[in-house]
This record gives sequence, structure tokens and C-alpha cells, in this order.
Amino acid sequence: MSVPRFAIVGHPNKGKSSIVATLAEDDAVAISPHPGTTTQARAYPMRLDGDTLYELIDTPGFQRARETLAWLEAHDRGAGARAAVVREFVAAHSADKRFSDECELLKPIVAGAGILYVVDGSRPYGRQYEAEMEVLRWTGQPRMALINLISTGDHVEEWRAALAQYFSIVRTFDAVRADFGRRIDLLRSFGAIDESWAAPLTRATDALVADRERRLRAAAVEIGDLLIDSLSTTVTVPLAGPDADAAALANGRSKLQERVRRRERDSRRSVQEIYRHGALAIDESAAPYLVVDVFSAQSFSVFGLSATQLAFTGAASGAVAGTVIDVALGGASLLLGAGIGAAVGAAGTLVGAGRLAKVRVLGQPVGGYELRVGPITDLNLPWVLLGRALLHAKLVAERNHARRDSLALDARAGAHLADDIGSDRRRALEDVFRRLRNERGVNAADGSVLIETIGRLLESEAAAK
Amino acid sequence: MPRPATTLFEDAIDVPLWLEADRLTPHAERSRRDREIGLTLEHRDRIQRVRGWWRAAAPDEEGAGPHLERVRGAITAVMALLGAALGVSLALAAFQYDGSQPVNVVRLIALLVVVPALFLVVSLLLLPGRVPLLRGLQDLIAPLNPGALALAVFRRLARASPELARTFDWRAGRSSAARFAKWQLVCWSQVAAVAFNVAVLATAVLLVTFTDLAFRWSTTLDVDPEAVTRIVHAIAWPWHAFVPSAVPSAELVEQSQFFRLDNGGLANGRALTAWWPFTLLTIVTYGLLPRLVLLGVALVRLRAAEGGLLLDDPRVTQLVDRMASPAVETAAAEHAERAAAPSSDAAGYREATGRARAVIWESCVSVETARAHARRRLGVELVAAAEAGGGRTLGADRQALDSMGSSEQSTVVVFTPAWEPPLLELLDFLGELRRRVGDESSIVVVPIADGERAVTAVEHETWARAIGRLGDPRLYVEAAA
Repeated sequence: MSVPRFAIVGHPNKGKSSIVATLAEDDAVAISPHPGTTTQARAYPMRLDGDTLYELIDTPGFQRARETLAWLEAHDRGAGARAAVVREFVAAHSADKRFSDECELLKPIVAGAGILYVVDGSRPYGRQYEAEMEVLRWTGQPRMALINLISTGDHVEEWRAALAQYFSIVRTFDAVRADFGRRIDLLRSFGAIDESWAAPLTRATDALVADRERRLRAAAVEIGDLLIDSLSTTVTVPLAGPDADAAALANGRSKLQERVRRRERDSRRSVQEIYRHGALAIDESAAPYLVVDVFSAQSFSVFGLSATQLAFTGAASGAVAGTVIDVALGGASLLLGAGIGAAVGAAGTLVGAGRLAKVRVLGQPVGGYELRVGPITDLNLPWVLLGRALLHAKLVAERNHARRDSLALDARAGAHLADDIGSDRRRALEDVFRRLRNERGVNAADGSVLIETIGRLLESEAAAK
Repeated sequence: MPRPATTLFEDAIDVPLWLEADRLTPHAERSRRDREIGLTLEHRDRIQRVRGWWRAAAPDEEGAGPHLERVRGAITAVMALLGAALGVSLALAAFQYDGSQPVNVVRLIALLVVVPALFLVVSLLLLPGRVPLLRGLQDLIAPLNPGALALAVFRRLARASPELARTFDWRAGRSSAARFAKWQLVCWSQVAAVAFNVAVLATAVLLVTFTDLAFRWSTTLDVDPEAVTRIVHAIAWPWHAFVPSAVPSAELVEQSQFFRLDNGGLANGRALTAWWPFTLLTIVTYGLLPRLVLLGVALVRLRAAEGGLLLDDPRVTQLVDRMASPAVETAAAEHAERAAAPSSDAAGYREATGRARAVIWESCVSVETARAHARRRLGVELVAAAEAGGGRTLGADRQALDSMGSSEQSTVVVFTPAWEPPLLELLDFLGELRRRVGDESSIVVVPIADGERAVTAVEHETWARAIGRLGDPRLYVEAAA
């Protein structure tokens, strides 16, 4: 069975490369507001373990469609020979620079590729497109029209009526704003062009969906790792004697903060790589919540829990510990354990607020003293780190590969993210955070809980979208 | 040259570091490479898979692992030497006998069994993990453990990066790192302890063999020989069935009691030497064997901790995932070079006077609108207009050109849809138009926006670039509004 191949063709500058970039998740595809960026056909194969399941071919746009059509009509030998005439056109003009674009775009089609004809539905329909569509009809290859929306105008219905004259399938697809689900829908719809392509395309889309789930899990692992590393980080400052002065304390805190900042940067880079956005920049003006320092008051106000939420989170996880006592006593404590546990947890939470990290002076087995700063004891910092990481991962995951601007936030994205975390998940997370604060270490089971919870939060973000 | 076989510890250090540097490799390439290697590996065990991958992916790479392994080996040897030296010294002191005062069995057992047993208990307290009730005590005793000293020396000698240093911190937040550090600490302390006991035993055997040791027991406490016999028999219980000759008899115990003021109260010297099998087996049973068992346990757990150290690293987790997951690639193998910018844009045409003819390309504007636009924006009066391009035939284009053709020097305005790109067929048309109207006539291209909107800067720039590329000095694009 031959591999489905799709030539993305059309007028220049109507978003062909954007569609390829979106579907191929390739942000290195050259996209420009100026026409003529694509001068050669280029294949974007979708491979699964080395097997090509389909191939997208980006092509240059038609430049002399009417002349091409005139040549075809001049050599017409009847409907049955039209595909052959197109092949003859390509053969006759392959060395002719005037028709280099037409030859580039027709070559894959005469070699058997299906046609995805792209137009811009935000601009008016014009009869100049008819020559292009007629040339494509001459090829006799299965074809579909895609109405892309580059700008804000709406001429979709006008286009739909015209395209229906030449194409049996017409779909609207916003290349720059389409999310993953829409991209998968579009790929599946390619199977309708030719039924023999449906099976490999289904296999391909299933693989892409599974790969997407793996990436979400990989992002959750990265974020979980960020939290574990940041919250358990300790730094040391050598001391001359057993007392730490203010400068040593400031130095230690500063080193600790810088370590956390660097870890956050690394984590973001990894998440971007997971979603194939390695070169993505974060624009200070468009995404201020992500650019502002993690230790800033603004970060804490946007991403942190309120004092009440903190108290309730502490109370809830304290109550769990108390309940263990109740269960151990077979209920003889009349649930006093849970009540006392909750009260202790809440009180501890409020008392602990506002302290950055544990500070200790330790004598060294090999002599001398050192100031050890860490792990982080600030109760809100884990939530700030988590909120920032979730927001960043959400934006990156949704990010379309056809976009060439910096990462930007929508109006709602900066709202109190912690509000979206349910109390049960908050409690599960707080249990892990407490283990780290208390230097009890995060074992494999705790790590699994952390990653699972973060994964579900990322999933719910994706579902909400 | 291929790298020699590596240890699990070296791999646990080097693989994550190599994967960190490997982040620069494009994600798709990494996925393909790791999946390909993963498919060739037969092991199902994850540690073996990662190590197999490491041998295949970077056979020549030598990282920090071998250096740390060498340092680790050197520290193990130093710990063994220190333990042995202490053992020999202590044994010589405990077995000291110059012929005047026989060796006191009570002191011997206290020095060589009771004190090490206390240290053993301290070591055992570190084993259960950092459980809440023990944590404070563990924090207190861990730095006193000789293994902690070794760990501190190791950290200094290793000169490890902060990331690596965390691997040797038994308080580390990641359990795998903490577990590794703890078992390394226990291992080193047990190596020292085993060496200590072996040295004690060896020294004792040598002294028994080459000198004439005499033993006695003495204490200020009011303990009668019967009680001492019971204690001695309890101590000897583990071997009484196998080596009955190493269980001191009640008579020997009674004969061995000694008071320094009571010279001559001892039995003959030959009888007093009968204690030596008991002392040697006491050292073996209560000193050496527990330490050997603990060392064995520590080595097994350290090995498991090294595996955990390797697998718990998130970069390794993702590697395992990449090896197990089908590699999905969608991007092109290579990308086109960016096109070079044109040398210069077409000159902007602002205002003129007189009469002009017009070509309306692709029906982008009505004749009336074109006339009004030319009057308002260009200051010219359109006297004739022809349509070309769009759905018209090439013959219709030629007719439009014919209607423009004249020897009269004049201006021709070409209205084009601003939202459409300047196609080569339009540029062909402009070339032919220039040939028809002569070099002295001005041709002004006027991009027209659709609807009520104005021509955008990008649209204007696109047209100015394309027209400028023709290099015609009297071919203009209407200046931006």
C-alpha cells in the first residue's frame, strides 16, 4: 500500500507553510508575511519508528496559472488524457525558470500525491483562483480545499460556494490558532479524500494522540522534578567560626534563590523541548506573570495560596495524620485525633508562613563550619513554582507551531491558578511538600503521587481549553 | 578507543550528566536514536536497558564517573586501613602481657566486644530510614559515624558540581540520592569495622601463636565465679555445640579469678592459657560476624541504591520512556535557507498632475472608484481604463495592453488587489506594459484594499519590494497613506 502523500498547494502567501508547520509541529518552517518564501517543494514525513505513515509536501504557490492552463488546453486530447497532459507540461517545462514554481508544485501531484488546496477565507474570493483550481482538476488527483483564516475578514461562505465547484470536500482550518484536537480532526479528514489512505492515517493519528499523552506525562515529570529539586535544595557557605553573620546569611539566601531560578529556567526549557518549541521565547510584555521573578511579591500574589487556603490545606493534611491515630485507636479517641491534627496543621501553616528556608550552622567532620541554607520552608513557594510551571506548560502545550511571535498570555491565564486546584489534590501535593520541608525525602511512591497529580492538573487545563 | 567496562555507580553518575548535555540534540533526533537503540536491547530490566543504551549511545564517552569511582575506591581502602590500624593497636593494648599481669578477660571483652557492639547499635539506628521518631537521633549520630567522615572527605576530593554533590548528601530531598548516600556511609563504616575486627583477630592469633598469653578475670564488683561462669557460658552459647573446647569450664573460671593484692592466687600458667579459644571466638561471633553481615547487607543495598540513583533521575526516566515509546517524527529533515531581502523597494509615487490611463487588475476596484482614487490620491485624471488579469483570458490581457500602447508620453496607473501577492504573471504584464508605453512614461502600481479598510504596512511593503525587484526607475508604487 502506498504512503499517503499530500501536496499543500495554492496561491502564494495563503498560509500553506503555516498549515504544514502546524500539522508537522515544526516551528523551523519558513513562514513570512511576504510571498515567495517557499521556492522549493519540501517533504514533511510523519514517521512512526522509521515507517512513514503519511507525508505533507509544502510547495511554492502558483505564479502563472493562466498560462499553465492555456498550455494544457492547447494540448488537450480529451478528458481521459488530461492527467497525462499535465505530466507533459511538467516534463516540458522542468528546465524553464518561468514555470519553476508550477513544476515544483505539480511534480508531487503527478507522482500521486493528494491535493490540499489552501485559500485565505479572510479575504474576498476572486476569479483569478479559477485557473489554479482548473489546473488542479486536470491532474485528476483526489483533492480537498482548506479555507485558512489569516486575517479578521470573513468571506468563508463566498469561498465555500466557489470551492464546492472544484472540490468535493471543503473544510475551514485556522492554521495559526488550531489546537491539537482540531489538527488531529483535520488529519483524519484527509482519509476521506481517498479511502485507501484512511487506515494509515488512522494509525498515524492514533500514534500522534498517544505521543501527545506521553508528552503531557513527560511535562508532568519535569514539573514534579522542578518541585522536588527546588524545595529540597540546600546551599552551603563556608564560615570562619561557629557564628553566621548577616552577610553570610544574605549570601546563602541569594545562592539558594539563584539555584531555584536556574532550576525553573531549565525546567521551562525542557517542557518547551517536549512540545517541540525549543526556540520559543517568553515576551516580557505579553507574559509578565511568567517573566517576573519567582520570589517577587507579584508572583506570590498571582500564584500563591491565600492565607485561608494555606490554613485549610495545612488543616486538611494535619487531619489525615490525626485520622491515622483515630484508626489506630479503633475509634476510641472519638475522632479527637483528626480534630487535633487539623488544628495543629493549620496553626503550623500560619506560623510557618513568610520564612524562606531553614538556616543552620553545621560543624564539619573534616573540620571547620559551614552555613547550610535550605531546604525551602516558605509554605507558599511550592504553590508559586507549581502555578508558574503549570501556566507555562499549558501555554506551551497549546502553542501552535505556525506562530512566530513570543509566548503570550490570554486575559484569564494569570488569574489565581491555585483556585483551580481542588482541595483533594491540594492536600496530596501539600503532603509531598511537607516531606520535602521536613527533609524526609521523596520516595518513589510520593514521586508518583506528585507526577500523577500534576499530570491531572495539566489534563484538566487541556480539557478546560 | 571504546570505553572499558563501567560500574553501575559510574553509569549512575555519567548517564544523567550526558543526557543533560544531550538536551542540545533536537528532540526528534533523540527520540529516533533512543528508540532505535531501545529496539536492539534484549534486556527487560530497566537498569540493564539504560546501561545497554549507554554502551551503544556513547561508547567512547568518559565522564566524571570513573574519577569518582577511583576516589570512592581509594576512600574504601583508606577506611579499611584505618580500621585495621585501629584494630591492631587496640588488640595489642587489650592483649598486652609482659609476664607479670595476665590479660584481663573482662577488659578484653569490654574493649573488643562491648564497645564495638555499642557502635554496631549506633550503626543499626541509621538503617531504618528517616522515620519521624528516630530522625533527631539520626541527625545527631550520623555525623559521628566514620562513614560520614569518609563521605565528607569524598565530597571534598570529588570536587563535584552542586548537582552531583547532592548525590552524596544523605539529607537530600530525593529519596534515591539520600538512600545512596546513606548506604555509602554505612558501607564505608562497615568496611572500617570489618577491617578492625579482622585486624583484632589476626593480632590475637599471632599473639596466641607466637607468645605465651595468660588470661584471668578480675573485677572490683562483687561477682562470684558461678555468676561469671553463667555469663561466660551465655556468651559461648553460639558455639558450645560446635567447639566445646572453647567454652571455659567452671573450674577454669574459678581458677582464673585474680586480685592484684593476692599474688600467687592464680592457677598454673598452662591452665590460664585455656581462655584463648574463648576470646578468639568471642571476637569472631560478636565482633566480626555482625559486621560482615551488615557489610553484606550494606553492599546489596548500596547496589540497589545505585540502580535507584540511575533510574530516579528524570532525564533517565524520559530516556526509558523514549526507548519504550514509538518514535514519532513529523518535522522535515532539513529546512530551506531564508530568502535574502531585496536590494531596494520601488520608489513611492505621491502626486502628479495631468491625465493618465488605468489598468484594473483582477477586478480589484470599479472604474468609478479607480477614477476617484486617482484624482484624490495621485492628482491625475483617468481618461481610459482597461481590465486585465483575474478570470480573464491572456487574450484579454493583450487587448488591455493594446489599449495602453501609445507613443504619447503619459502615466499609466495599475490598480491591484493589495491583499493578493504580486504574482509573476502581473510582473510579466508590467514588463510588457513598459515595452508598450516606452521608457519615459510613468507606471504607478496602486494596491487597493478590500472593503473599508486601508492598505496595511505589510501589504504595501510586499508590493514595494516586488516592484522594486524589477529595477525600473519609472515604475512606482503609490506611497503609503
